[in-house]
Amino acid sequence: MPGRSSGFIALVVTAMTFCAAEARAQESPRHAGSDNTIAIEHAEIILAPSGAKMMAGYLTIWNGAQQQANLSSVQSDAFASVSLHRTEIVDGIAKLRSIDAGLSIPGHSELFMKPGGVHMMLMGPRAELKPGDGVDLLLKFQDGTTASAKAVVRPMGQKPTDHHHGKDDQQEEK
Amino acid sequence: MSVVLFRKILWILIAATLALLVYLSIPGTSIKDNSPAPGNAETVGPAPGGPFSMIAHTGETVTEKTYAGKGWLMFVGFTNCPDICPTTLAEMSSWFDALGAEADGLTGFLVTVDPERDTVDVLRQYISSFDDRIVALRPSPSELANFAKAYRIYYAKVPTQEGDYTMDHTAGVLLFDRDGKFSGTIDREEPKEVALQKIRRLLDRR
Repeated sequence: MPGRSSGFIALVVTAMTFCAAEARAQESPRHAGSDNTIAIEHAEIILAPSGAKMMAGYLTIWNGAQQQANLSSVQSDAFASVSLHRTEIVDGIAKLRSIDAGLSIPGHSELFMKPGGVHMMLMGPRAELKPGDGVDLLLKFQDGTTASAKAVVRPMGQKPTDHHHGKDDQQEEK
Repeated sequence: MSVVLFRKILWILIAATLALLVYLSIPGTSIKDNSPAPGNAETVGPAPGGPFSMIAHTGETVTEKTYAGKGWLMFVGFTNCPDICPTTLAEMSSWFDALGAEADGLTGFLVTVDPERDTVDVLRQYISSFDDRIVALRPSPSELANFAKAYRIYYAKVPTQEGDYTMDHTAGVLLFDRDGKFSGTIDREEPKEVALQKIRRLLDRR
């Protein structure tokens, strides 16, 4: 039955393509760190325009554990205050809101901070920062655990590293 | 119709449906027009634009006539905005950079929606971080209300828990051609090449 088998082959090929697409979506957050832990990556602080009172910082948190992680706050001795904020763009309108209840990161998921999304607002630097400097951050979770990270200071106007694979990976212009 | 033929057609239908599902499920394959929109088609009522009078970061009073004959890139924001305001203005600077002398017929604006905190001194210092073809403008509160209406800008003061406040504001960059005609927007997520294409087209419009 040649007709039937060719139809079957078409189905199998289609199904395989489908599975491959699914698998790609699954494995996309690739991380060097161990699989069962919290991994903080791409921590960056972008210098503010001249005279501005606040800087923005970005990082990604990979929660490799089964259970949800709840980030409650970020602290740094290098700043008077660090708070979590989210820029929501609704119908073309930018709304900056503080995240007071913390952020939950489901198991095997990534929290990805970016301009126009979740970010850290850092105010009152204790010392003048310049590009390339390292700033220690301490992330506190609701279960009492902490994770530390070193953020790299980037020049004003630089986009934070876009961690998602594919598009924008090499977007490190200027 | 034979059963074999019927089965064949059925299989083909299943395969086609699956193929369509796969196509739709792969990110980036959805049909999306990335080409710059020619002007703004869906504006109802008068197009954005019109007279304004504000204080520039240089201290002088300026009006729309000060920048007549130039293409405008207009962004509204405020300096107590760590995330998208510096990002957008840095991007705008990069457009000026990329266009070089081509952009001499172009003026960028940051119009503050927070004149209360953004004094001329604050704006002067802040805007010095960006391309010097970008001007910071401070309207008085009543001018801001008029400007927002005429230019179809949204802004709102929103109290924060610390007893402070933040500003909601229109996020995109508004384009005006050399005749002062509203010519569309550049949205935050648009790639640089698209932004540059829109700006070049803006400068060519007469």
